Amino acid sequence: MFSADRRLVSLLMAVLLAWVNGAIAASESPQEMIRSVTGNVLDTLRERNADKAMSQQKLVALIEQQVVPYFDFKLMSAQVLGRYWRGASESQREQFTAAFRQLLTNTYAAVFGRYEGQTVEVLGTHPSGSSDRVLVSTLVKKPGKPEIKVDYRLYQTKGGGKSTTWWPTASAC
Amino acid sequence: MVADGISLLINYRSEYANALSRGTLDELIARLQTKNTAFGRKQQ
Repeated sequence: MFSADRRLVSLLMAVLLAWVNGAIAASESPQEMIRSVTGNVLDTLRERNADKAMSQQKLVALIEQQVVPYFDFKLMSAQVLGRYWRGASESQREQFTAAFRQLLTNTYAAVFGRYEGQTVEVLGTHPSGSSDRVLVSTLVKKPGKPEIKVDYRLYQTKGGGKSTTWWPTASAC
Repeated sequence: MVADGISLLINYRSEYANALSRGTLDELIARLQTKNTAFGRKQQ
């Protein structure tokens, strides 16, 4: 079972991955990419914290505008369903993707509402298997709480930009 | 020291594989839709 902190980090990580997947300039290094995307996510969460009057509905709208466009929900759906995706009809795939998209949006809205000032430090980049894959290590910090190590595994797309795999790991350290 | 590994999507994958071993994909889709509707009602 996840603690609240780890669950938040895990959700943040999924958002970050989605942003990385869609929004990174090819010229940026993987480390710069993670730093930039992390900063954008945290800025959004701080804005939310500064606006206590922001309703959950507005938060959902914010996520729809700023986060959702960078998700590849079809890919994510295929990965979460695995062999069941391969056996699904096109109609089932569309219905599942739409429902999963809404579920994730709702989940992020609920979790973002509990953001408590965590910061992220990018530690460095390391090779990860083949030449087109790297691992970027970060630390998620919150005063008075243990640091949480989050690693992002990135791969190079055909167009030269960097994008991430969907299965990163995060670990307490 | 690595204490454990976590991943949101791995969690979902495991949860859905479990649900699909006991039911159909249409039932899982219906369950997600019900959850989403309940969330929407709570926001109003």
